Amino acid sequence: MSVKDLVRMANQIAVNQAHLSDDDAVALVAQHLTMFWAPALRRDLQVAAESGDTGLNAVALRAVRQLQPA
Amino acid sequence: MTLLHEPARRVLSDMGTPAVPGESTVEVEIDGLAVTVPEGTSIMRAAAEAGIDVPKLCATDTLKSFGSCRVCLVEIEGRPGAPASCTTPVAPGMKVATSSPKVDRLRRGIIELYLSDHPADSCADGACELHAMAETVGLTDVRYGQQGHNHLNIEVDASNPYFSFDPKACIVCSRCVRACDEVQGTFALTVEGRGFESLISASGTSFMESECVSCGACVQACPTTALQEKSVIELGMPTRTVKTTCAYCGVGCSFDAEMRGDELVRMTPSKEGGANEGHSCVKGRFAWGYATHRERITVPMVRESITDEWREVSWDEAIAFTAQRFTTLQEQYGPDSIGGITSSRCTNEEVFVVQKMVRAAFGNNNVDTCARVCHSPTGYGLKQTFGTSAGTQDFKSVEDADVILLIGANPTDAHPVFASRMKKRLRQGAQLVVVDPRRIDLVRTPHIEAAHHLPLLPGTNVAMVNALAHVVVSEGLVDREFVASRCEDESFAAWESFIARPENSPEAMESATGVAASEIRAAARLYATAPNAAIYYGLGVTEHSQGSTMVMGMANLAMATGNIGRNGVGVNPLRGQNNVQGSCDMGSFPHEFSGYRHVSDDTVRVLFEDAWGREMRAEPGLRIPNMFDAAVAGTFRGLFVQGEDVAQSDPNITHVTAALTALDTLVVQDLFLNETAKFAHVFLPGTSFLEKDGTFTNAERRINRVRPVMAPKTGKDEWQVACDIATAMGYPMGYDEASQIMDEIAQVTPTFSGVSFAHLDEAGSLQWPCNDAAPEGTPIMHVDEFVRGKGHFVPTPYVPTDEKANRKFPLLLTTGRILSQYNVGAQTRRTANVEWHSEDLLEMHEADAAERGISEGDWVALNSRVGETHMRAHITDRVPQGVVYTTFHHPESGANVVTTENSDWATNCPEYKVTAVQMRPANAVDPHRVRADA
Amino acid sequence: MTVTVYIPRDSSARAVGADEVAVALTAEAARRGDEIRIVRNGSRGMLWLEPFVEVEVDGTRVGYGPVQAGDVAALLDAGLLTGADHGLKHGAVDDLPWLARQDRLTYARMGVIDPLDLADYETHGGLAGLRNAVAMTPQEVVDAVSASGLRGRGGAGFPAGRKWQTVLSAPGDTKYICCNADEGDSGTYADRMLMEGDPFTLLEGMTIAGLAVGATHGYIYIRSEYPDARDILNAAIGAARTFGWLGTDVLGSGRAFDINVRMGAGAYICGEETSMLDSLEGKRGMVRAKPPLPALEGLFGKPTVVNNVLTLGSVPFVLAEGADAHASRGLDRSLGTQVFQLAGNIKQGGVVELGFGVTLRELVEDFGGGTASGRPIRAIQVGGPLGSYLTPDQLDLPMEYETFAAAGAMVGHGGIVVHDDTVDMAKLARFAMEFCSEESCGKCTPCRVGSTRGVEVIDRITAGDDRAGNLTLLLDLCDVMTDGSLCAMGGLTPMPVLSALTKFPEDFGLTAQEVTS
Repeated sequence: MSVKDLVRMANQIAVNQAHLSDDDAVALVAQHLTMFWAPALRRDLQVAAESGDTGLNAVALRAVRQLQPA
Repeated sequence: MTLLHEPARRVLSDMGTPAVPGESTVEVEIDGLAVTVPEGTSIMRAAAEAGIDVPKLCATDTLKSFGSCRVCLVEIEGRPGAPASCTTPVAPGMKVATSSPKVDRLRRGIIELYLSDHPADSCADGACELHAMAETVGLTDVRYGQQGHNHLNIEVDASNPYFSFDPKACIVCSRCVRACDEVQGTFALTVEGRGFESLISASGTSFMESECVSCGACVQACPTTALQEKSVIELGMPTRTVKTTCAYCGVGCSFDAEMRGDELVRMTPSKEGGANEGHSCVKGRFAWGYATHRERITVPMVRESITDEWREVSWDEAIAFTAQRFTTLQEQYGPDSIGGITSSRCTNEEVFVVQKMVRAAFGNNNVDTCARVCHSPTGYGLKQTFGTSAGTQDFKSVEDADVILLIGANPTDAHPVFASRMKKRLRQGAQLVVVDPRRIDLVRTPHIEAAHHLPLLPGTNVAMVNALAHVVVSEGLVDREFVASRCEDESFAAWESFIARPENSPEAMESATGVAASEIRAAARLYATAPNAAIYYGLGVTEHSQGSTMVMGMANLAMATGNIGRNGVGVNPLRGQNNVQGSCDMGSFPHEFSGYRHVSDDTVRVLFEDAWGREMRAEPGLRIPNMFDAAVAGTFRGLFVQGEDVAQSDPNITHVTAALTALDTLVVQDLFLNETAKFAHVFLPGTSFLEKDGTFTNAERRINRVRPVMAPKTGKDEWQVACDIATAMGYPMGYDEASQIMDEIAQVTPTFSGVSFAHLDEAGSLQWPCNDAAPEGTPIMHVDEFVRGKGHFVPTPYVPTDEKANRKFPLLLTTGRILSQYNVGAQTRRTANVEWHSEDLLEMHEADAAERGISEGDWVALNSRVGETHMRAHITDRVPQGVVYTTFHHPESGANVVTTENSDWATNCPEYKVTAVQMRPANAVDPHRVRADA
Repeated sequence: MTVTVYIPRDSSARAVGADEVAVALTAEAARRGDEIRIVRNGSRGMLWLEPFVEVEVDGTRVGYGPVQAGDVAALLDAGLLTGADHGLKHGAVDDLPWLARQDRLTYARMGVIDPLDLADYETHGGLAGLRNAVAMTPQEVVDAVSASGLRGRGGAGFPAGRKWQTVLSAPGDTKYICCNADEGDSGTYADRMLMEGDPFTLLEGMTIAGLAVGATHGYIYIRSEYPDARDILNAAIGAARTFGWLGTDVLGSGRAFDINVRMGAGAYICGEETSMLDSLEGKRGMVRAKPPLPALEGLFGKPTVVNNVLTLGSVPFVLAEGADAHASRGLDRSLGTQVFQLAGNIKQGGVVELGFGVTLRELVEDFGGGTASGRPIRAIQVGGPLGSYLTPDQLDLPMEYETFAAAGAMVGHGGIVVHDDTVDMAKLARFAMEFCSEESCGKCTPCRVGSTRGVEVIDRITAGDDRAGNLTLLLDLCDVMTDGSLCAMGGLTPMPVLSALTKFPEDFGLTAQEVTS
């Protein structure tokens, strides 16, 4: 799975929560990833997020960091 | 399998004139029998209610009474003359004689006139009502002879591929003209000439060159052999019928498959069909020949590598081959390395067994459905707001709509039978608002003109719905009472303050949508102030980067204006394929079991674990695009594809084919060797709808029976194949017949608990939820409360798509369907429907064409950032400047070569409707060569 | 001093040289230095005298006719402008017995005024009815029309008041007044003459109807053969709008009414009211089944008054002079006057407006002067091409709806066509069927197919081919057409056929006994 694509999709989810406060947006993105993404995808994203600048936006990055270990 | 055991059903004879709604009744006496009927009912229908069949030719209960044939004359006590029973309404205390020496004599005289200008030999197999009527009235001798002035030398019009018009047999009863007007709403037919020279005419030209859309309504209405299916002329009149369901679009029309022996002679729309009420379109009515097309594959085939030749094998070998390869992959790459895709064209039962095979035999949740690429945002958006992933209304509801807001849908092409119902309502005076970049036919068509057409730029739906909702909120048009009693206070308040922001105003959104704010305001007022306003939408809503947002935006709008929970209102997805709704219902999504229950729900998982005897995963599996990405990445190695041509229908085909090529094992189950099968290792022949025993669920949640009219040409029911693979992989799975699968569905799915084949056969059809709370189903949802309790508002910020027109790709491409074709054309291209649409054309505005030196019919190279394809230009004012449009029915044109990987943020439904492109004139090319390069 | 000369602009006058007379008179008078003013009036209705030129001398109009352009110089020489004697002079027009014996209500201004001069119209009593109606409630207007006994002049004789009441009582905001000016019956031209000679009377009648039933829009459906009438009506409508009569505020009443003219395309059947409505809606003119009545579901499905030109043209008199003034004319249940039209083989063709009850003899012999050929009358067709043939022994029948019906005939639109003893009645019977086959809308079978078979069967009878069998077949066919047809077109076509057959069997090669047995 290309991390670039995962980042793009995660960012897109985050951008679509612009109406929410950052905290709420982070919670919603994390919930969305948990509900709809296969664990392998979340895992790849988590690994990438920990490894440095992935291009994740602020909300998406916080959400990924909040995810339970997949 | 039980072949051809059609259930006992009430046979509706033709009542002559349509039923009249109404409370007040009138009692009359007909031939001495007292009968009570609604006020305004015709004498003819009242007689039919009393079991008396008044002779008739021009009357039929699907059309308004006309009074032309004069065969139905009766005598009424105290009234002079012999009034026509079809056009004369009953009056209290009326005493009618449907037979008397006088009317019997008149009837014979009239039939005698008819027969003086009618071929004597046209009544083969009882196909001609006129000859039957002659027998009924006892006419034996035509004293006028046939030597008088007549029409017996007029040529047959055989221009339509499916039916012919023989004026010799025509009795000018106008049933065809009226059917075209009243039922189909196309107004293609008329009567030309007057007096004896009156002739039915396709408006002065041949049927094929006329406006005729070949829906078959005229053929259905014709009482003689004047309008006749060519298949009947060729094969003879059918001798038995089997009631079944069309396998094309999501309207789900009921048909009588009319057979002669084991041969299908014709498909005629069923008046009892809840979705179609006796109407049809060119696809369902006529384009079924693909089912027996010579290119159909009926024997399983395998090959080690996709560079090898196919090898025909037995079913046993094919099953064993498949199971062995899947098992090996899982051993080698882990349990998650394989998955399956279910098809929206297959029955609920076939879909259910495939997703069960994945979850129970494969042991993972890597199952997705082709609805991913069409209506997945509908599922997401309506679930979030209303609590269930389905449209709110039945089709009949449109008859009560006062304003129809049509967004991103083109019903006259894509859902023609529903379009006819909608047009009927519009002709009665309902107002229409069309939101679509393209000027679809409904914007202006005979006797219909949209009150507003909002030709927004592709990709700006959310901007538009926010602007509409802003008007509702800022102009005091919110239905406060509905919101207070039916919706969440908190989420409404949040939404209200969000939508009231100036950035959501029509004026602020004008630059994004390209639509004048005044038009948006007027449309919003029209919608919000209508007694009943209904939203209908199609893939023009869902196939966007904000598809799910838009679905929620429409749901918000409907709730805020109180347009939910009764007839005439609602939020209604028009589903593209016959069983999109059903395939989603059946648990085809990687995160949900049947009935839209999340895999993380422990209670639900236990239910399935108990039923299936295997542990269920609590985490979602891979979606289709994830599968392709993972295949390219090498972590996903095996895929079972049921009845879907992903190599043609999915976006960014270059990427898709790379993924398919990377797979170790691709199993394709289909009727034909499609584009995807080029990359397959196993080809498992599927069954056509004529061979299936099961159910389809249409866009109005209506579960319709699909009944086999012939044995499977493959020698195996399609649901059996998944069972066999699962069993061979070590998970025993089997049913004696398809009804048992539905029984299992009912057992594990609360919304289906009252559904069984027996119940369906008895009721005709059922709309889920069908359970103890609603034993006979649910035509209208959310009547007293939403499925989720209170309606939930979700703020919908407009986020422009990344796919923007720029200097390199200055145009926006959007795509759609045409009437005569269907999806990637696998079926329709194998019928005479190609006579209407033999290639995909690129529609463009004349200014865009002129700027590039492109003329009508020129070959054009169309390229986006992911690919290039070629098709011919069609210059039209249907599309605005800056927008180009095409269909994707033909593999040669390969529209999806240029579509990108962009997708809906919530569901990954591809953004088919927006692709930034450039075009240039191209020399004539061999499309097949281009295709091979792609 | 300027002398006023009247030269009719009616099509019937123009067809025989009225325009040329006007041109010649203008030129000749100018050459001589005579100061004249030419008024193109409507026709007085004495068609055998057209072009009928009137000169106003000391307030009296003196008539000359028929005048041809070539007569102009001689007439001027003789002293036309002073009302001098000439071989073509008929004397003071008002004193001509042909006119003096009439009772012109609907045609009160016919030939008198300049058709497009609204002031002239008012001077001669125009707009009085409308002004009264404006001051009344809609129900009062309808009541007045009901009390007047006015019946539809188009042929069916349905009480106008009852029809208006139905439309007034029908729910709905949108209602229409449709004037049937598709005057297609053979030997009829009274509608055309009124539209050409006094169009304001029709417009006034329609406006009153609109106020009475709550309609704001009226249509005049005029046959394609009447281009002059169309042009005059359009000019009259323009004048009425400028005057503040038609439009959003009818004569200051605050109520709206406007009128548009629509032209047919040459189909006789569009004179049938429901076909006319179809045609007005832009469709092929096809007869609609009734019910629903047009009064409830008419034009575009809305409640609609459909009345003939003469019916609507009679309304201003009713409102101006009162219902009683109208009801005092006529006979029994046929009240008021009818504008009878004399045509065919007749010495003095033209229009005669008299109360119902005048006998056919008075009209044909006293006014018409017998046949033009001078030969004995053999047959008279009254009421258009679907009317029965009457024989000379029926000349004393009073022109009255019920009496005629009892005699198996109909008054219809008041057209009277005379034939002398050279006529072949079998040919006329055949023509009746042929006319029907040409003009049938094609909807119902008895009319569409039956009329064609009727021609063939009559041909076989006259050719002597199985006369007995074909006679039976013809009688059966007429039975089917009479009782089985959707509208009067097919239903009445047997009337001329059967009347010809029973009264003149010898023309078919049959005996009276064969026909009646």
